[in-house]
Amino acid sequence: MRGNGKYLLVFALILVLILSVFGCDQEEAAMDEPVVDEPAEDEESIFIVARTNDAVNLDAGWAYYDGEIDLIYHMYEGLVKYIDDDLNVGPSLATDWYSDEEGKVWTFELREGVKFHDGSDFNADAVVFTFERILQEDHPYAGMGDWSYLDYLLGDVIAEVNAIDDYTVEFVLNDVFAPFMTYMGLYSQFIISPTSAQENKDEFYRNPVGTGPYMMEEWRSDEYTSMVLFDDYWGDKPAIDKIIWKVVPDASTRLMELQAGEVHAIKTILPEQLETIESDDALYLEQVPGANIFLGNINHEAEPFDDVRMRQALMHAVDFDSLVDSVYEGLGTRAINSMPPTIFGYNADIEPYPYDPDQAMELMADAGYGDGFDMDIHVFSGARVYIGRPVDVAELIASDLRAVGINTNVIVNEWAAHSEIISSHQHQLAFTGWYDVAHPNNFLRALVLEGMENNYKPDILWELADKANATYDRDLQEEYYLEMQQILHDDAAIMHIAHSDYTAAITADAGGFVLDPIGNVILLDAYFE
Amino acid sequence: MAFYRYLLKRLLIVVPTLLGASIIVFLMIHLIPGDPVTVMLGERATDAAREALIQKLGLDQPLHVQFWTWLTNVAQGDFGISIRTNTAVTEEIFSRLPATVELTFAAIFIAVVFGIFFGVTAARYRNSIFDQMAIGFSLLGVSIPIFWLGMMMIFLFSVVMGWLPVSGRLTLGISLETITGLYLIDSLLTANMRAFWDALRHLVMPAAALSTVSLALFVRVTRSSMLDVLNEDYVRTARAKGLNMNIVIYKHALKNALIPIVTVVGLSVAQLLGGAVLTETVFSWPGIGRLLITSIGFRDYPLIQGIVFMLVFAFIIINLLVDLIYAYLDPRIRY
Repeated sequence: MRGNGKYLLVFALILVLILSVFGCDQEEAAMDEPVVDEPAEDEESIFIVARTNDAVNLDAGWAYYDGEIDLIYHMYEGLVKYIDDDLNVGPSLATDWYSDEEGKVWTFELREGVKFHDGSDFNADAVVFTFERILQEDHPYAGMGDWSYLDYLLGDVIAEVNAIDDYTVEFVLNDVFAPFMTYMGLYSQFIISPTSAQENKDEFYRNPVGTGPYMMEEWRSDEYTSMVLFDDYWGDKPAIDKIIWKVVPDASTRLMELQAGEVHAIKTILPEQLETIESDDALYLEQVPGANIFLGNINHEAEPFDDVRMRQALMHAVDFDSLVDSVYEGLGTRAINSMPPTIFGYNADIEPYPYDPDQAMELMADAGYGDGFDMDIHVFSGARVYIGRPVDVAELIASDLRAVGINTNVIVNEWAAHSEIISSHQHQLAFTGWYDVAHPNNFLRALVLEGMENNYKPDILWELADKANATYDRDLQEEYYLEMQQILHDDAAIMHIAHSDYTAAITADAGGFVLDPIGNVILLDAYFE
Repeated sequence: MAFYRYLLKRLLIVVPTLLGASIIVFLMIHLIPGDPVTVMLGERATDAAREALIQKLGLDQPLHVQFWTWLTNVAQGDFGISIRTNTAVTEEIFSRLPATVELTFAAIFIAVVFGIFFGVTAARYRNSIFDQMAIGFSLLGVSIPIFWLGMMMIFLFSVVMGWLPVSGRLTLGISLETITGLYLIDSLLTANMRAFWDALRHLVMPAAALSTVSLALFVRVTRSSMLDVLNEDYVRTARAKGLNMNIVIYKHALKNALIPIVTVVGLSVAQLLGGAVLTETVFSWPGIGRLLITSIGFRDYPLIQGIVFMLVFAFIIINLLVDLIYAYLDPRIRY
């Protein structure tokens, strides 16, 4: 056993050596580590945010995915910006704006003395360029991207964009369009530098240049992106010198990064992490109701759901309140209408169908399905912004449906396969969702009428949606939107399930952290105490 | 001469193997329901938007045309453009490969050093407490979920003790000039000791977590292979003539016990190069495994094809290297 002991001794020595090396080094490293909780007076302040995904496309006109929009809001600016949660707008790159009497021509007076990060001047030509490159077909500087929010929102709305003089620009619309000014505050309408876009052409999406208070510093794909204050920024400079967006795909690792003090904020909290965060004095939680919805798409041409009684029976059969409680665990609210309750035009008078299995069975008997029937529920695996655990929801709903005699089978597919089933109308009930600009048009029209593959598009809804868009009078718009929601409710057209909250956790010494209703982190007012 | 003929034959087999693998992968990824357009457009996949994008991406061509186009381009060294990022596939792969290579070799290094040491020691003191512990721990090593182990390590060493960084490859803010993409090597080349220590501290936990399965395997293979060798006559002879036990084991016996070990080490390297998805996810390590998973999720056909092509190639080359090492280890093996 003498040799044995010797080897163990050697091994122990190696271990001690390794530990001492790292032990020593960590003290040293801790001293020069720039990741500090409280930066010294003259030291640059760095704010680090950990998020699930990295950006791919940072061209404001093309950015779309999770991970991109946070960054766009810091590097670019629009003509106007949001000043409240109802998405009313205030001045940004435009100082004033007005429309002609008819409401089809909008004129913007632009701010003078604004520079892009590349040193070029912001002016009316830049505005025209920004819109034309996306809206005109085969524009030489269209840049790279798959799908443009600008084109999606305003492609059919804007007829022309004209520079009247250096600092005046007019937008000629095809028709009166109610959400126009709201959309103008959204990131996809932010102004890009024509000089850089022409220089970098198809590489612009990796070399973003706007007028925003921060400019791109370094981008290591799937590791981090850093941005620093832009010296020539026209407005009040934010307090934070540098923002680093770190990619940490795993939610548990993100929380541990925060606990270890290596990052200052983490985006997207899991329900099971709430307790840890709330019980930790060094952290606080940000939670905002999201402009999104998780819902059941009922195929109105698939028997037996072509019968409104059967659709109503579905609504009565499921205990949505406890379902939302158990799956969202405090990070979501039950959905009653097709749009989030935080948006103007929401119909608060509508009461949800009460949970009443007996009533459900009665309705089924009336419709001739008293003996029950077989049904498939399609659901996708993997989280989306509006639902963390979709399969759990499907299983809970299936068990409620089985209780009223519907022999329910849950079919799980990953997203791409799932959406193919829906778009080819192979489903009876399939779960899906929506997230969009917090405007009723983006839910009651873009989702319900344009986005849903459910064979339910009554003319009356189209008419109301058109009327709502054809007036700038918010009261009138509201009237139409309320009516649309009532019709949807009476027809039991869609199984509304929940709106999920957007979440973030932040270290206690960091203030001014904003999470907007679309889930973007905005650090323009952030500071360290 | 026979050796060169053998080598040539082995290298020529690479071509049909790559072609076969490419066809299988191509068919498989197109057989999975869903396409990149559906994934990209997400909730907004209306028919009109789909049509437009399908055309833009050239996905409206018949499959065999798409494959032929891809193949002829590859023959000219062009692996195409990633659908998701609009970046050249080769650029995407080479930007991630160094991270995976660094992690793989660190993990294999740990596994080889400790695996052989423990395996040899366990064989030498067969049935001792050490032997039984080695067997017990190797069983644990194979069965422990890396995901869980990684979490526990982070919690213990980063959150509680504060010794090591939680995740990533380098502390944000430390600058390092990229030459090879292997941070340890780059920092040494640029004499940037601060970055070297920082990169090493970031590498320790993921490498240790990733090494567990291989380590456990190496312990078992080394032990059993060593036990066989220790029963050979020449070992008895060597000991009988009074040689020091360490010399007998590490100089005479180990070399003869190495062949099965080299085989499993080779296989492990090839396997880990495919990216350790779980480890890379837990430790936010920007490697090939994560890239492959993301590209499959997005149905990024060119990128999936490119990565698989690269992996098959790596597998073939490593297998070849392993076979060549056999000949060195055992002079009786001739090609």
